[in-house]
Amino acid sequence: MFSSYFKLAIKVLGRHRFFTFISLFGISFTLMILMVTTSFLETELGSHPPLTEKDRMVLLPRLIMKKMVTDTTWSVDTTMLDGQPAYDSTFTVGKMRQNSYSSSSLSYSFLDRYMRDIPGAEAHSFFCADTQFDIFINGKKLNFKTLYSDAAYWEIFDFKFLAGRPFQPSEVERQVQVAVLSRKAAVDYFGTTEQVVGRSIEMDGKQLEVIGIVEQPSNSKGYVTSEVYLPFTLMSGSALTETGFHGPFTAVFLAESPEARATIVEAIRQKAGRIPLPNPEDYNKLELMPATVIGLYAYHMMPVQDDPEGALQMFTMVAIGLMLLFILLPTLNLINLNISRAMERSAEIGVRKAFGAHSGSILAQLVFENVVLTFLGGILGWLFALALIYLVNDSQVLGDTQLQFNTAVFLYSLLICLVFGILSGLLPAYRMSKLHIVNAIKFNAL
Amino acid sequence: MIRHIFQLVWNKKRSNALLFLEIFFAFAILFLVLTWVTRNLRLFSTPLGFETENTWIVHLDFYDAEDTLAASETKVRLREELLAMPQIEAASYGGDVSPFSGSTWSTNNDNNGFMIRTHLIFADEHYKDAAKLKLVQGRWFDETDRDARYKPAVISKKLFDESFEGRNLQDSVYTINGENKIVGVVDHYKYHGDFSPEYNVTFFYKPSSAIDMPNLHLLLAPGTPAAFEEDVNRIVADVTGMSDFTIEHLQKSRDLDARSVWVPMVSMLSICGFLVLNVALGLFGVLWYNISKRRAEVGLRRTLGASRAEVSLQFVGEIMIVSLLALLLGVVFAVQLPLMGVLEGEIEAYDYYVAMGVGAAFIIGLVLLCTLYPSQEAGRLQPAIVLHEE
Repeated sequence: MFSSYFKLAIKVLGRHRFFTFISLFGISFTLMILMVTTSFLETELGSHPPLTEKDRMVLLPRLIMKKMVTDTTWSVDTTMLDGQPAYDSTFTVGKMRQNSYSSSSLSYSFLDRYMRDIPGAEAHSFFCADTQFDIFINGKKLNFKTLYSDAAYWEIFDFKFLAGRPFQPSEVERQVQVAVLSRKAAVDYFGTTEQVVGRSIEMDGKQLEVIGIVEQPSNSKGYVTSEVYLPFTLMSGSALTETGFHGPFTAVFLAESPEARATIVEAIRQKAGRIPLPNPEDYNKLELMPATVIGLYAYHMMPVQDDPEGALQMFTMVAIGLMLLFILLPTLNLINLNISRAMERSAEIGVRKAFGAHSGSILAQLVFENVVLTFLGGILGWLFALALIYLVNDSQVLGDTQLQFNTAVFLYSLLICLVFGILSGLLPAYRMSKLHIVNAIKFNAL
Repeated sequence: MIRHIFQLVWNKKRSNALLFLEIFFAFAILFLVLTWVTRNLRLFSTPLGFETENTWIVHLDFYDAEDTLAASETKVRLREELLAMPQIEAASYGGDVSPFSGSTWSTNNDNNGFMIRTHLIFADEHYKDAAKLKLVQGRWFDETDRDARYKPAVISKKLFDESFEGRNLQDSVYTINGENKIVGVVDHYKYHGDFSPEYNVTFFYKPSSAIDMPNLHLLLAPGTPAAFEEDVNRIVADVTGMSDFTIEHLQKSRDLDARSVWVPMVSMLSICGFLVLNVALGLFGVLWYNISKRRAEVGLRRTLGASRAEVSLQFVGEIMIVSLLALLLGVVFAVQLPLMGVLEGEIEAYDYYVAMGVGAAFIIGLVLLCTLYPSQEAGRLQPAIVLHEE
């Protein structure tokens, strides 16, 4: 049955080339954009190295200090009491108001002192992704972003090592001058990634031995993307000894399961209330901003202050809203076209009905035809999407982000095609299937 | 005539409803995207107020210096050595907040009896020349400000207009960040990037030697080769004995910052363009089809004496009425945004109204374009032939 539907669908498509072109144009471009968007989201928010365990991570990127004050308003009333003026003063205490506000990443001493024993955290790592070095080699300037971390960093983020190994806790402790490079950094500095392990790179006035090369993370997140990874004990100056709360460090905690993240978030928040502030004159309220990987991503995109969860909600709502609005228009367009085209076939449908076809089977046939059309458009859209992804990656308009088209994206795309096909075919098919036989056969009398 | 067309539209309300919805949503999408684009272009059109071409910023860090006096001397010596090179026209130290870095330091108070909201920037006496700032009033900082009784401040024109219009700057001391004397007003300083709103800005004076002035702004002579950077790098390394400094090309940072708005803006506009093209093609197709189904009706009207133009006008009129009604509904919704002041401060009423106007005009133009050809074709039909078909 479906094979005859299929043949019929192809025949109908060939009949009015212009209409077929309009439909295919709309479908293929809509699906192309949906596929590229899916690919973008999968690249940015999917689970792949070094963020395979992203659903178990809680980051602590920000420490906020505030000074809260209450306004006191005095008012004096003068009244005559026994011929004498009397003064009656009253005051009202206003709401708590924020006076000063300071927000930044954290210092190592703060993390070391307060954040080592967070209940529910299987592992934790403190790192600083904030340093850059200019290196001149053969007259060319290389700007290397440098990430200082402890050894636990490599257990939490599962980087793919092309060669070599990460640094060990003992190396961090003994301040051994070792470095892990990204593939891009190795190519920029040595011209190759072959046999680079064991050679040394001159940076920050030190000769660092390269012990490992990692694959570039495909997505651009500040806490994993870097050119050079060094043991944090190599940091120069007072970054490690400074006793203030603000500094260049970020912390990451690994929960046992995605659900257990809530415990960590709660524990961090609770802890903030119990830590005494070093300078209560300037700031009297301490807040910590824990965030999930996706929450932090949304936080960077949405204008929400210090609230990654709120930002994520807003981000989801905006994304779904835009997506719906975007799908709605081509769908309406296709429905409109389909209704016009289906009317043309009312005679055929009338005859089928007269010979005993159920409304249901007519509905199925018309929806099936539309799905065939959608899949044709889907194939075109898929080709366009591949081309567009190639162009986007090639021109680096998204910076370091390299879009991927993997199985997951392909499956999502299939689903999108199906939903789109059924959605846009249902209403016209329903209308046609409900046609009265007499009216249907008497073409043009609609 | 109009009433008659309304009647015709009403008679086919079911198929017109889809058209109506389509145009309504096309307008809604166009309106939202254009509002955002208008806002960006409006912000883009105001000048940055400082030089980015041929400007480098050497990001140093003296906070770790144990001997602050020696560090101060190093800073001054570094500036002098660099300035001695013919390629460097001006050099100035600035505070931690540097352009396009995204960092902000702001304060607001009403200690003076009126509200002052401003961002704080620290600069030395050379910054005006290094950044080519334009003063509209008063003067920039100079040597004498070092020992001034009240900390001198230079405010931006925007802050002046907002808080100091009509007030005496000459003889008054205002509380902005401590007690300050306002010595000058600069034209613009939009340091968050081309697409950022211009915030109120106040410059405070700090001498070049201060260790919390870590960013060295260099203005290069035009045409300085890129290889010169290695020389600067070497001098900085030699004089300071540091290696963890970076040299930022301000123009590059500006472009990168602007690109983060251009890329989504251009992609959104292309998506919008595609959607609109899609709608246009659909409209064209449906109209074409509808007219081919109403050939007999056209034949009859022509026989009864209607002219070609009248027949064409009828078809254009039908679609126009539906489109205008859809736009009307769209505008009723859209106008709520400026009226309720949604996202006030980020997006101005002006942006909403421009977007509304452009969006509506665009859709009307598009509908006209798509209906014109099929309706003309309808006008050209020969009554004898089409009636014969029937």
